[in-house]
Amino acid sequence: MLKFICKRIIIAPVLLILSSLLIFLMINLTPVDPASQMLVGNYTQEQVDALHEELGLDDPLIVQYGRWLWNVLHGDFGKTYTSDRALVKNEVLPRIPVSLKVALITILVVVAVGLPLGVLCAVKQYSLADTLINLICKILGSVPQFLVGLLLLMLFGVKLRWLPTFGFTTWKHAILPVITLALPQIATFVRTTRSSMLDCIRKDYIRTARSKGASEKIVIFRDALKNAMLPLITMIGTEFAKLIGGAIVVENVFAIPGLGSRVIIAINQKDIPTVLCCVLFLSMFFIIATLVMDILYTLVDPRVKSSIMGSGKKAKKKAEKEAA
Amino acid sequence: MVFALVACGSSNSNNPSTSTPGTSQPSGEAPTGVVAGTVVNFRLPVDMACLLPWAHATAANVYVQIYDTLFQPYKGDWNDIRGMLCTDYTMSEDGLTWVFQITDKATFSNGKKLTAQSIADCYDYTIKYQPGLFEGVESYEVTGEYELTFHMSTPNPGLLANLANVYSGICDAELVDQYGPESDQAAVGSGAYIVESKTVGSVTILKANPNYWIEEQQPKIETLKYWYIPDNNTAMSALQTGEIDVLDTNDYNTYDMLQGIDGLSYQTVYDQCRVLYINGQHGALQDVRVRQAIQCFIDVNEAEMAYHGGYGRVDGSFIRGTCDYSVPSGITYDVDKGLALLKEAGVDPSSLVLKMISNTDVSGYGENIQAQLKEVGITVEITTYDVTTSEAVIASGDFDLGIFRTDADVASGLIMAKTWLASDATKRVIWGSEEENARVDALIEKAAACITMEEQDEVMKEIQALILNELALAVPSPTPGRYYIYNSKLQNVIIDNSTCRVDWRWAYFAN
Repeated sequence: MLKFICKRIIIAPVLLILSSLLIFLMINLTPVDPASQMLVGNYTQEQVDALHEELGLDDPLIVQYGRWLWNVLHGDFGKTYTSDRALVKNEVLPRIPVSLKVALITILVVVAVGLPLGVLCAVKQYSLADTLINLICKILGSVPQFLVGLLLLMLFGVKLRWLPTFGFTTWKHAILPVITLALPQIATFVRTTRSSMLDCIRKDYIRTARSKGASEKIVIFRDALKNAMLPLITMIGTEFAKLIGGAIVVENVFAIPGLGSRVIIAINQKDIPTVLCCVLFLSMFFIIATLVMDILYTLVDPRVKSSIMGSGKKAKKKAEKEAA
Repeated sequence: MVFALVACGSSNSNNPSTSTPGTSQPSGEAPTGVVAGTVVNFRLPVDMACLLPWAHATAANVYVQIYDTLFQPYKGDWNDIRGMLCTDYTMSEDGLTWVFQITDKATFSNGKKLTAQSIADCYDYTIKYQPGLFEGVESYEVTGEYELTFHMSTPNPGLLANLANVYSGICDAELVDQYGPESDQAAVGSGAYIVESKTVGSVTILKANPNYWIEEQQPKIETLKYWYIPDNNTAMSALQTGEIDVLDTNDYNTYDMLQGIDGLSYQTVYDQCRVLYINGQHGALQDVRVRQAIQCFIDVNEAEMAYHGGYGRVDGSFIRGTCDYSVPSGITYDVDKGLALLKEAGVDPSSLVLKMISNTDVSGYGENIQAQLKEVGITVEITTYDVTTSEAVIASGDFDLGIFRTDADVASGLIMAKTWLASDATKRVIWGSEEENARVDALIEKAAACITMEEQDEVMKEIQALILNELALAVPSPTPGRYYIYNSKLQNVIIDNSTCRVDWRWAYFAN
């Protein structure tokens, strides 16, 4: 198991380098000279040339990328390619905890609401509750997020004045953005839980458990739900990683200083160092989330654990010995 | 204090603001000093990165409060530039030497004395980040504890306006040396407000400077909070709930929707020009008659209604500095005249397929022009980029029609001309034949050689008339407004009539 985790940790930097290299090459395809973004007003070609030399913009792309990577390895994310030339780390790092907080609270809400509703729908298949929940989920899943956000803002912020309309400073500020983000996720989560549970409920081992006289609670929550968790863990992990950098609309509507909206601004400004820094962190969170997912798989499903454990040479030898 | 008065020329009579120039009508008596507990929550549509004075346009609203400049557009009026840190100045007859006397009363908010040396040290940074402000400046030297001398390589009558620009605000350069030119820890000026805190992507809080050195300009509001709210709908909601007091937007729909609501005041200021440029280097457009025909086919008033909903302004000006250079436009909307010009040039309108470069900032405007030209049979293919890419494409000359925004962040019209219009401009928008470009360049050089502002203004008008009326390389376009909607309790809100920044020294809450 430890070997499996180590292997994944070793692969992670390679993935990070590849993703940042890809973004670096793509953003350099545009015909915008970063020097023109950094200089203001009437500047001369000499000043442009001087800035090119200072930033090494005339070097081949791969050299530029290598320099950036080397600096990052030394903790230097560079300066923004904007007129203020602010430090990238000052622009990006304070946003990470905000994005993590939003993503984490949202996922907790999604699981807390979606899981029981999904189980209920599966257990009471075709009942009134199942039909109603399904209908609501379909509606929630099809309404655009910005609209949900604005409607909630109008209702709870402007009409009722119960909640603040923007910012992310107190727990009250988190309510509307988290609900906006969570509603479509809940809809998907409920449907996935329902179908996964229905799959499990129909399996032979559930029938066996019931025939052995196990109570319905134990059958549902110990046997069925545990086995239905695999696709749900995948979903939680990927959605969590996506939320960190993908809550752009909600960050904009509720003025939350997160990573997603910052990376979009940086892309529009052709601010390569900021884009790369954001991509680096977003990729890192994605890799961590998938690693945690894989570890959770092994805890939930012993078959996954044995397949991981069984992939090594020692395990193979052990299996051969046992077979002999 | 001795005022240094610099007129911006005679062309500024058409003040752009809908109310008194950039000022709300005050009611009641203004308090004499800071009123404890008063807070203004201000919405910023774009986040600001660094709070040092030369750094970024989006933070300029904050610079005005933190930093003093040598000169100031008094109460936001660039037709009335007065001394601020500078008490008096002299200019040599040839315009090549300027001597500035500095006040001995000013101190930085950290208690340090502000001297001529402090200013020179700060300018060492400013010149690196905002070289345009030091157009024609060869060197500057400290010639006394409170005296600074500028040596010019060429005269620049716009120098005073440049030194009144927020980007040439004076900060404590020793702190910049210590913390670096990108650190907010060095954001210490001698202005009416002091930075209390800044949360990236969220809010910047300023507190009134209790020891502000200009007695008659003491701030009245204790706290200024600048909230970054990117979405207009959210900002509108926040204004209605009272979470913010001032909404700053360039979206006329937002302005329109908030009209008539009790407890709100409104001001419009025009700080940008969005111009349609015609590239005279390609195909049929090389013939000036074809370009003139295109000018005749475009109804700018219709475009204004479609794009700005009637809240914009149609004028013949597209060179913007501290003041307008409106010239009587020789262009009129006249389809028949346009068709006759095309016939004369031997061009069939249906044979014209023009490539238009647009950007996300002007979407809607390009489509309107496209529809108007389609009516006479001209095909326009629009490619929309983000703002920076469209700027780069237009500067590369790869377009037939290009829409781009030029704004008044640059201090003088000459800087604007050198930045955008000259053939060696790094953000070039004027693309005529070699001979046509040479004519524009010659006029820009003539403007650069002027010693007085009046002379330079006249040349700037000549440049504009040449580009618009004679060479037909641009179509004067409707200028959008910048809209300020704010809590009516706020009195005497002074908005710079050119750069749209609110100077909070003058405002106060009505009882």
